[in-house]
Amino acid sequence: MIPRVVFSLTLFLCAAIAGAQSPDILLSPRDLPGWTIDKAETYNDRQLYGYINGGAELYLEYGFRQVVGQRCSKGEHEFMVDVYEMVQPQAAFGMWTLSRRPGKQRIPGIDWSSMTGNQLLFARGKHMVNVTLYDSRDETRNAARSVATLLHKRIGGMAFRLPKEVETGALAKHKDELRFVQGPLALASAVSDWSDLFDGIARFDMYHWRVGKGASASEVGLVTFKSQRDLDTFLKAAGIAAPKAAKSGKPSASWLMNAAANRAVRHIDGLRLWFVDGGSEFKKLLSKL
Amino acid sequence: MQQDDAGRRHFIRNAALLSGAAVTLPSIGLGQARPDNKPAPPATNIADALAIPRTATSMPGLYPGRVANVSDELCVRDGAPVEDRAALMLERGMLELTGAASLKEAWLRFVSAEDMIGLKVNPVAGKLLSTSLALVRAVIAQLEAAGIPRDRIVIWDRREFELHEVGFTAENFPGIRITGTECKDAQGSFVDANGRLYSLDRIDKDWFYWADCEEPYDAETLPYMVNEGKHSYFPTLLTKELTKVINIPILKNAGNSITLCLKNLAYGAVTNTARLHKQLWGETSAQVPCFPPLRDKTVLNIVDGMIGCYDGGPGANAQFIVPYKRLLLGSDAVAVDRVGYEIVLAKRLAEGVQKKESPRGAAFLTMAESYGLGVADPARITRVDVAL
Repeated sequence: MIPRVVFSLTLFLCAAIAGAQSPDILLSPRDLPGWTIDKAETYNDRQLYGYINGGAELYLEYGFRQVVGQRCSKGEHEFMVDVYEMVQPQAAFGMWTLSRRPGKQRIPGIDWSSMTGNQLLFARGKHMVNVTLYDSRDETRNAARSVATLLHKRIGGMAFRLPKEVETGALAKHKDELRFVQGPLALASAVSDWSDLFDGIARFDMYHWRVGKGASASEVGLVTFKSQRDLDTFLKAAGIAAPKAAKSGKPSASWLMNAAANRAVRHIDGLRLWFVDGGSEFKKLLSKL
Repeated sequence: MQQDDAGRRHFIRNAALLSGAAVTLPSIGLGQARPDNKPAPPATNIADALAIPRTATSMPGLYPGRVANVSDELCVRDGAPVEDRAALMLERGMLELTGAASLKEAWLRFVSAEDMIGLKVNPVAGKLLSTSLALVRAVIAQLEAAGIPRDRIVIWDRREFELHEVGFTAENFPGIRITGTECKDAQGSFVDANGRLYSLDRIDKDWFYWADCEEPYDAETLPYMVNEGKHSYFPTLLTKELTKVINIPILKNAGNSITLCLKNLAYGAVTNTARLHKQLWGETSAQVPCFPPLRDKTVLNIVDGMIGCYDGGPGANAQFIVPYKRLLLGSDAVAVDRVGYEIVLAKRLAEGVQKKESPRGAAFLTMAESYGLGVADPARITRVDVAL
């Protein structure tokens, strides 16, 4: 009797934990009365080429687990809901920063969200939700918005938390421009001008801002490298000669400069550094960061 | 097609020699050391393709360096292309490109009733950002008006099911064959009762792009790639059935570059492409169209720029999809790509997605020009701008 109780309890606990880890992201007709909700299609990392041919590599670079897609329709109204599960919250946040259009309206009540006439997009925990509208009529927009709000609630958990340098630092007011990049493909998309600087570096974490407008904007990166070798490769490509103290990753109060190219680096700790590249805000940024 | 057959034998013989040699002699193909001391890209069998004599219809075709850029404010309504406006734009573009006295004459400069014509569309990003049904209908209608029977027209791409998903179906295009290399049966299976991919019966192993890189695929990815190894095969549809190709890509970005005519031909024709993206993206886009099945049959390019994108491409990210409201036409895929590149780049700069032009963005066009596929230098391109 006791073993059976223990077994049942174990099963219950497992189910509860699994439930906590895997929110109910499937939509049913009850969620959207009057609408037809198609059966969900799920694609894992090995099947992603079949679902988003041409876009799969970027998701895989960030770290992708699965995507669940459901089509919602009512007569001529139609939208598609894709719930991406990434390997960790910063991967979902990173994909969101690359997928959104900076400076656009947020979905009310949802952090890390953006909304345009034909798309609702947000990151929450390990998930990124993308609602794509195939028509722009009010009924479709309202239904899509209610689905986004519902999924946000079901996913629950915490909004992605930025490191303190990003959350409260000198660039805190530029969050609308913020992007989080983890590899070469994302880099080519977010800040293609830096692709040469990261040549041969397969993985890194970088918060990136473009401060200012147009061709005179300054580019700023808060970069964490995975190894000293990668850091050295980057410094060499950026034309910045680092003294030994900097090479060993010790914090430095002063900026290391490539004055000819208007580029500067300052170590924060370990393999983390600030990198500022050109633009009209260059000097101001060096004094603030 | 005697000349084709001779070229084909020549290709096969040399390919066997060169692709073996390339493994040990990386200077063949693109294996040259780079001046910046970065590692050379993997060698390929491009030398085999370049050794095959060109024909009268080889790229860049009848109008090297000439591009018609036709815009129309009325061609997009409620977020969707308008078919009759697409037809008007197409008609005007064909006349501007060719200088012909009539639309029929313009079309018959590229194709005849004896040809089997493939319309190479691009549905990979789904129906939000596919070659539009409106434009393809207009192309078919004008071909028919020029005397081309419907049963001589094929809509094709790599993935048959993606064609169906975006609306290239028998219901929407009665009498037109719609096919792709990668295909499923009625039950949705990629394989027959013996576990063999149906797609294997649709590729021609005599024609291939070889590159000294490979990537293993698991069972779920393989149906989308068809084969592993160092060979990317052309489809039999292209090598044995089609005599002409009309290329109809979409005006969209791929990172800081573009995915228009050349990429639609290259990545949209051959198998086993995932291995090529990381190391040979530009080379593949410039080199695969050098092989005779594409080089000698692709006679016309019509970029569907009514709706396109400036970021998030080549996939569809709704926030970056915009009505460019234009078509680009040319026989010269490289020149058309160059004009398209400038349009997309201008939009990226205006939207702040990119701060300045990346030297990598148009590098594949310069490479394509070096292979004789067309004109990449803007100073030598004649762009004819027409607004309806």
